[in-house]
Amino acid sequence: MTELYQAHAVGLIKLGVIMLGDRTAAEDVVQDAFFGLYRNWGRLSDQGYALAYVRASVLNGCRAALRQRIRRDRRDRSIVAADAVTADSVEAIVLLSEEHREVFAALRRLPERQREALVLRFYLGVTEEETARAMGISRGTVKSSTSRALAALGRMLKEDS
Amino acid sequence: MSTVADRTRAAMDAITSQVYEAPPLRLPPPPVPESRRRRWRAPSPRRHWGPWLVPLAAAAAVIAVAISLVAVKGTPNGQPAPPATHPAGAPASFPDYYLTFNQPVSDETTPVGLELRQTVTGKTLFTLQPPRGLSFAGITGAADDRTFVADAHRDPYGDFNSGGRSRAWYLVRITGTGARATLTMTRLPVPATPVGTEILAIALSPDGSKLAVGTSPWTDDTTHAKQTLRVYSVATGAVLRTWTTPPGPANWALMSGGGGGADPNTGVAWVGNYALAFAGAVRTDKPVDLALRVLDISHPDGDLLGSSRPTTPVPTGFGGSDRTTPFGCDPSWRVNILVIGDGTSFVCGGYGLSTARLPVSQCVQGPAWNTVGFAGFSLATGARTYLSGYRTNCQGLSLTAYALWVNATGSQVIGWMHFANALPGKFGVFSNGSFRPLPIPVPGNWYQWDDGSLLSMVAW
Repeated sequence: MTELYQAHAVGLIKLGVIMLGDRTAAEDVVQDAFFGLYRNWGRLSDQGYALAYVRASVLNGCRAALRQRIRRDRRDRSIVAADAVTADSVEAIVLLSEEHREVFAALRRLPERQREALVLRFYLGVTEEETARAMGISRGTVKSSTSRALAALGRMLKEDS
Repeated sequence: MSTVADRTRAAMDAITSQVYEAPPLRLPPPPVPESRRRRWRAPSPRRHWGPWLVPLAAAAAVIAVAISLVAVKGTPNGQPAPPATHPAGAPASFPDYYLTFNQPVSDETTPVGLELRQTVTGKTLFTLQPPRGLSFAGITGAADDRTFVADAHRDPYGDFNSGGRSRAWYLVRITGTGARATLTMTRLPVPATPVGTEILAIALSPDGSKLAVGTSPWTDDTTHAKQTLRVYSVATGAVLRTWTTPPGPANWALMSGGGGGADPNTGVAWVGNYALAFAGAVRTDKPVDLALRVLDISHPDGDLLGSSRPTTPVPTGFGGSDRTTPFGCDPSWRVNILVIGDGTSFVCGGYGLSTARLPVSQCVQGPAWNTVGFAGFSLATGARTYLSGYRTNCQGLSLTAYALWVNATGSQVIGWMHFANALPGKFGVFSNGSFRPLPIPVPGNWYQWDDGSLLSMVAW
C-alpha cells in the first residue's frame, strides 16, 4: 500500500485540488481514501483493483466535502449552490493568470459528474474504462459527460470572454 | 484536441502546479485479521433461531394466507388494499412486496427489467422484461403495494445518457399473492417525455389514479433551468395540471435532479390524493431557506412556487464537521422527504447533533456529528416528532441516511444509512431506536449509494 501511495498520491491530491480548489482538503480526502483502503484491504477480491478503489474513494470524498461546503455556504452566504462553489476563495486560484482563472471558474461551474469525467480523462489520462469504474457509471456516460463538459466549457468561455 | 480542451488542461496544470509531493501516509496499527476476529466473536443469536423459524415460518405463512383472503386492510389514504401474505417474522404493517430494477453501471446495452421481490426475504418472485428496445429507468408505487408506474427509455446509448432520453410510461400491477405473485404491464396513455428532458421526480398518488412528474431541460446549467411539475391522469394520460418555475436561481424547487441514473422517486411526495409536497424556497426571492411546500392540485396551472404554500421549514444540518451541528434533513444532495399517510408530518434522513438515546454505531473514532438517523417532523409546527437512528462517531464526511418507505404513523422507516464510506451500510427497518436488517435490493457501488440514486431503483 505504501508503494501505491508513493506512486499515486500526488496525482490523487491533484485530482482533489481540481475538484475542491483546496490543497489541505484534497490531502485530507486522499488520506481518508487510503485509510479506507487500509481497512478494507483484506476484503479486496483482487488487489489489482486497489487503485480503482482508492480513486473512487477520493472522488467520493470530494463529493462529500463539496456537499458539506454547499450546505455551509447556503446558510452563510445566501447564494445558490453552484455559485457557492465558484465563489470559494482559494489560495491557489489567486496565483493563477487571468486566463487560467477564467477557465478554472468555468470548470467549477460544471456539474460534478462532468467535472470528474473531464479531470480523470483529460488531466490524469485515466482510460475510459477506469474512469467509468472510478465514477460508478457506464463508459457511455463517461463519453457523454466528457463531451457535454467540453461543450459547456466552450459556451461558458465564449460567454465570459 | 480542441482549443477548449487545451485551455482546460493548461488551467488544471496551473492550479496543481504547486503539488509535487504528498504528505506521509498516516495509518493506524495493523488491524486484527478478519478470520481471527471471527474466531473470537460470540455466535450470533440469530443462528439459534434458524431451526425454530422453519416451522414457524410455514405456519405463519399459512395463517397469513388465510387471513389475507378475508381481510381487507385500510391504508393511510383510505384505499382498500388487496389481500397479501406476510412471511414469518414480518410485522403486519410491512408492505409485502417491492419493485426494483438494477441499472448496470458498465453496460447500457442490456435491457433492464423489473423484479418483484418480497420485502423481508428479498426473494425475487417475478421478473418482467421491458418492451423490446427499452430499459426501465424509474418506478413509483401507490399505497396499496400492488400498483406501480414505471418509465422506460430507449437503448442503446445515444446522444444523451439516461438523464436525457425520451421516456415511455407503463402501469405495472401485481397479480396473485405470496410466491405466486406476478407482474402485468400496460402501456399508459401518458405522453412520452421528449428527448432532452431530465426527470427530476416521479410520484404515483396513493390511490394510483394520478402521476406527478417533475422535469427540467437536460442542460448543464442545472441551477438556472426551468422546472416543470405535471400531474397526469393514469387512466387517460391527460395532463391535469402544469406548474413551472421561471428560469433563474431565485426560482428554485428542489426536486433532486437525477443527473442520469434512475429517475428520483422521493423528491416529490403526495399528501393524500389531492396535494403534492416538495422542498422549495420559503420565499421566491430567497432560495436558500427551504420549506416543505404543499401544492393543492385543484390550484390552476401557473407558477410552481407561487401556487404552492410553504409549510414548515425543512430543518437542515449545517456546519457539518463539529459537534454543534443541529440535527436536520439533508436536502442539498438528493431530496428525500416522505410524507406520512395522513399528511400531518414528514420523514427525512439526516444527521447532526441530538441528545436522543440511540444505539452506538461501529465506526472509527473521529470528529463528526454525533447522530445519523431518520426523523419525523410535524407539518404544522415543524417540531420533531421522533428520531430513530444511531449515535455515531464515524470518521470522514460521508454520513447519509435515505428514507424509502414510512408506515402510516411514521413509527417505522425502511431506509438506508451510509457510514463513512463503509458499504453496504445499514439497510432495513428503523423503528424507535431499533434496527431490523433487510436484504439489500441492489448491490450498487459507492457512487450510487452515496448520491442516493440507487434508492430510486426501489419502490414500495
